[in-house]
Amino acid sequence: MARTAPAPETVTLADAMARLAVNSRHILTLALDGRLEPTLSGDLTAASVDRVAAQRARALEDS
Amino acid sequence: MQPFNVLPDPETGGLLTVATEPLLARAAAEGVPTVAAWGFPALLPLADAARLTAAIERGDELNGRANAARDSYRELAGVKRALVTIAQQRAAKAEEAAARAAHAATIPARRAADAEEAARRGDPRSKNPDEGLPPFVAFERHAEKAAV
Repeated sequence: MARTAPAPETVTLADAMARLAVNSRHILTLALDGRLEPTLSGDLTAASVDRVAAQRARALEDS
Repeated sequence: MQPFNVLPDPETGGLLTVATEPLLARAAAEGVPTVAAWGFPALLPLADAARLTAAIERGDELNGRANAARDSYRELAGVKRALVTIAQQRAAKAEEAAARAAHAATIPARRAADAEEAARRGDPRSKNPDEGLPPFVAFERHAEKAAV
């Protein structure tokens, strides 16, 4: 029997906006850049949100 | 709160104000009686004018908040639709790449089967599958091999 990949953990648009402290248009820009991975339900994968959050934290530390 | 021009009420000694058109409309809507005095057909008691003005301002603020919430909701809904579209496009691309890879993976087996079939028929191409093929076919085969 074919095994289907488990659905990735997701974060809603509103939660991603709160987590990254950006507005919805910025989320869209990040998704178009490929830095955030949208799902077919219109949410974002938790892993991609984590990555962007970590990048932003690093950038803040460096500045 | 808008400043009021205040006049004394000649009958009651209270205070009247010259109300703006929206304020008078609100007073009429709420059944607040107006007073005719000092040559004005409709003055409002000052307390009523202040209360009605505050109600209008509160209404405006609530409307403003409702409009902002609606705009925000529309924007979020639009972004969500765009995210779905991006995900669909990426899924389609991934599916296409997987199909291409699956097809490419079958090439060696198909080539081996062709060679075997050719050998069975005694075809000289069984030794060199490209031998005797037109140059463009041989080129395509090499390209397929490189892709694998």
